[in-house]
Amino acid sequence: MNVLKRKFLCMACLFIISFTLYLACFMVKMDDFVVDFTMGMSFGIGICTIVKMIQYITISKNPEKIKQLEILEKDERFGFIRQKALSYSFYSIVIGKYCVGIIAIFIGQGNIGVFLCIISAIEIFIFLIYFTILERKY
Amino acid sequence: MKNNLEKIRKEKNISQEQLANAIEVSRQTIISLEKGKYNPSITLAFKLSHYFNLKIEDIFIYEEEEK
Repeated sequence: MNVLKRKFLCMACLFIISFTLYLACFMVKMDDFVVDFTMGMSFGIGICTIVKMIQYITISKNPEKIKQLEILEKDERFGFIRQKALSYSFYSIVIGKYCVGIIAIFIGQGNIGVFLCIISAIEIFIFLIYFTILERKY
Repeated sequence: MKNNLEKIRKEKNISQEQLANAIEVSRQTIISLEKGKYNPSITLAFKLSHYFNLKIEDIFIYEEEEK
């Protein structure tokens, strides 16, 4: 599968997910700010995916741009940056979630706090599983 | 790690764009390599050495990190 096709399929999947989320929120019909926020977010993501898909369709008609996209996809520096950004965002999200969880426990929102801390613990556990598997592989 | 990439490229009269296209990386990667901001993988180092017909040691100079 070429790069453009793969990217287009990823965007299509993301569009389906955001559309489903939007529909689910629409069907809940709850007057809650969390539902409103999720609806807005899924709508925004949906629009972005449509724009990206249109961009990929435009690129697919230009062989020069396809080649440039393939080079960018294979480029090791971009891969390195992608990995770094992923690991930084993973650590900041896990630590942030954990801190918010602890603050929530202290301000009397015990359930939310415990939930956030459990999610953080599960993420770190998954990270350790992958680390062990990859350590054996390489 | 230091490198002589810019010097060698200019000696051979090759543009960053041409070099990037030849070894299938982005021009930004060549710029980062020349500035010493990014250390290449062994594969990319070999690609560069094959392209210039030089040894890897002629292009890249390994320096031990200060303790």
